[in-house]
Amino acid sequence: MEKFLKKLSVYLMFPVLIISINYFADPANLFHEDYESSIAHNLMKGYNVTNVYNHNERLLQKKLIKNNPLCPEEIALGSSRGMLLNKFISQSPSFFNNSMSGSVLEDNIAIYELYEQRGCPIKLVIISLDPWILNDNHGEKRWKSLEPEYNSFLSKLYTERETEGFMFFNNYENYKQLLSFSYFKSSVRYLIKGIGRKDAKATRLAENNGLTRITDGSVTWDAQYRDAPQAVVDRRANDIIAVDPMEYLGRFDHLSVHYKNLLINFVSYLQRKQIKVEFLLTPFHPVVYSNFMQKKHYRNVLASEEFFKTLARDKGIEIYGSFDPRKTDLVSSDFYDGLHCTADGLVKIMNTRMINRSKPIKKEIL
Amino acid sequence: MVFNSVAFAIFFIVFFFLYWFVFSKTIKWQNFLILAASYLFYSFTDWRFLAILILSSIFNYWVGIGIERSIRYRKLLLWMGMVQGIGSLIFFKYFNFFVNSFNTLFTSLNIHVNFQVLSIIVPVGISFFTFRTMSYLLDIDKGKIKASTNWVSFFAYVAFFPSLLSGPIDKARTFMPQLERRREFSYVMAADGMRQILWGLFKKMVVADNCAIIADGIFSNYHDLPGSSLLMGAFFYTIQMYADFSGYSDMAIGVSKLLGFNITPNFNFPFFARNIADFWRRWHISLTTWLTEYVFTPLSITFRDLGKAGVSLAIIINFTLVGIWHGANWTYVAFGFMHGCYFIPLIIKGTMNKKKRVDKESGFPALDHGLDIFKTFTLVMLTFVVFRASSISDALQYYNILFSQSLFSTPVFLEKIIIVKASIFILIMMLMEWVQREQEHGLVLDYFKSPALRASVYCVLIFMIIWLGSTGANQFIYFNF
Repeated sequence: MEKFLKKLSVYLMFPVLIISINYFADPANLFHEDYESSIAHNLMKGYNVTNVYNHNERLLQKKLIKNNPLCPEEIALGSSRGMLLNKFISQSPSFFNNSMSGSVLEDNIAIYELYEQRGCPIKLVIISLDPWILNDNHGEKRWKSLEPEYNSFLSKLYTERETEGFMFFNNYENYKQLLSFSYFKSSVRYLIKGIGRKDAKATRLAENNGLTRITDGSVTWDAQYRDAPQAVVDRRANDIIAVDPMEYLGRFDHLSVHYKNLLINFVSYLQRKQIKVEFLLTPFHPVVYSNFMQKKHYRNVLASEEFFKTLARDKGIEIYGSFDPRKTDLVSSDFYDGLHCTADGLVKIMNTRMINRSKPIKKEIL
Repeated sequence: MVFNSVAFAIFFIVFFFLYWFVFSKTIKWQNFLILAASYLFYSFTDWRFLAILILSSIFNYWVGIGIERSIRYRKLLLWMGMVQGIGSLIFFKYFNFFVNSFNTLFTSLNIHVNFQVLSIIVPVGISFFTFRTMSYLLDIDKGKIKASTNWVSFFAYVAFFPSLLSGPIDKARTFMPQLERRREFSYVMAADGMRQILWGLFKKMVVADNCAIIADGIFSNYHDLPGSSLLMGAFFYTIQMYADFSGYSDMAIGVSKLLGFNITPNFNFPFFARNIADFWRRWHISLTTWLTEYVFTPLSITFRDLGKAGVSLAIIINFTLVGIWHGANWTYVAFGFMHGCYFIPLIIKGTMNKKKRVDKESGFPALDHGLDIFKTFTLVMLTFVVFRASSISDALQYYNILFSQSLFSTPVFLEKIIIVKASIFILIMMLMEWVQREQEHGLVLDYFKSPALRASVYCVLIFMIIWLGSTGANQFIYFNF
């Protein structure tokens, strides 16, 4: 045994090397909070922040909600597909977009809970809905870093639920990245590129070369992404469908009863608190949507839209948009890739809302 | 929990130290630890079905004792055991399949019936642990083994975590004696286990997961691609299947060796087989030997009066069962049936049981050997199209395009770089396995006398796994079965 362990210990250099590089390079800032702190600090001071990459979005939202001296009255929750929703489109001066990449229902609930813990008098919640939030097998686990907040909210809905968790397990998904090979590859590339972690910088401009987080929580994509020729956009859409099943949509063989109930209970809770709820269904690129139509294993993407519409009707919730781009007159040029529509595309969807609220918005203010 | 995950690494390191340093005093405690760890491992994968695993173990434990002790009720008890095993497989895996098939059949006959399907989730690993319990009862009935009166040993045999989810399917008569004798740590065995794990990781993470990207892309867009691309899709999927499943088996066997167990090998370099019979002696060995012993042999005895037609019938039934064992879909039935049919020429020629081995010593296969290998691989590859397809009509459409004129056109590639990368990985895997074809696995490296040289090979493989492996702890294909 001694000989075996001795020989094996030589190969320990691999995990030790991986852990060290992952920890110190930390391209997604999972183990260092200063990056998110500086972004939050600048946003709260009224600056946009550009060159924002690979940050822990959940941590940033936590810092923003807990430390911002101002409470918004209207908030948007959802995934990156709703991140372009800004205060101009929402036509509210007191608006904040809390969308996060890979956001699922647990994330939305936890973010709302953070506002409630802070005592913010929210009046309107716009929930950008994605089909995969009703998939039991979506596989997204980043919400775990907001698990205490999620559990805290659940304790209000279901009193029997445990509200306390061990922080170690809440952070397990982060710690797991220390040994992740894909994270290691990102770390090495990050080191080779020599991009400093402090590269994010405050700016007054909304559109920059790098991805920019705006003071209202929304984003503008980086120039390369924004200004890509149509052929590149269409190729991005085709790349999305080349992976089958698409990310988050694997084994989507039924609409999750758990998630349907969770959404219904969340919405009912907000309505009981006199908070207005609106749903936003952001369309998919025509190529991606047509893929959903053709393949049987994506039938629940279409079923999820039906469920969202029925729920909206039953609860008297206004709903904007559709996963089907044709229903909102969106064409390929209204997209950045297979999943994300442009700000112009979003304006097309929200225009009726804007008419109801005041007047149609002008493109130039975006 | 998959072997190539951080969670399993942590789980196994803790288990390994408890097993050899804390619980090593008595076999009883070691087996108890194996049992507890196996249930924990299963719970991590899907805790909802742990009760089924435990109840199945309790039932078969008592039935096993009953078969041995009772003369009067021996056959009845055996039947009860078989009904429980086959019944749970039918209920969990095939119930909806039969209901849907009957509905379709009656509808096609213009008879309107609507049998209701149930919302059933298939317990992970059910095919594997059920086959273990069934072979245990059959062996007791035939007097090949004695019923275990040590419940911890028996339960540990049914739930042994390295092979619980995807095999190999060990027979009780080879595995239980190992549980009942004292296990000493062996450096040679453990070192070989580590090498086999490393080789399994390489096959799974570097070869299979990269091939999967290509195969998935081609199979999901096959309508729009020419036959030449579909041929590539079939090729990469066949390699993916092998690297994925044999990679898993290598890891399972390696992990078992670290614990002092020798479990049934599952693969013996099947792509070097010279005919289909040889292929099945080398592919998923634990399943084929199981079915040969408990299905094919009794069937061929039943049909012996029919001569070669009887053997053919027994083979076709046997391989159709191999197919359907994988799951409730007509595609699997067709897969098994096709393999059964491939045997017919060998049965007619009387060469089914004749072992055609490739030269042990030669660096390259002789031309006729190479042609045999190529033909066998091509036949197998064609069956994996139907195995991968979501329905028979999908498979037929795939074949239709594959065998059209577009087979001779320039292939359209979705990801050229990945194709080049995957091809290099396949070449490395095949070369290593060709050189090691007389060994137990592809990384024995006995002919490298220098420890430094061996260590270099290990380091290169580790580097490839880390840097060139597909990211994420992708699930193994055979978890679905």
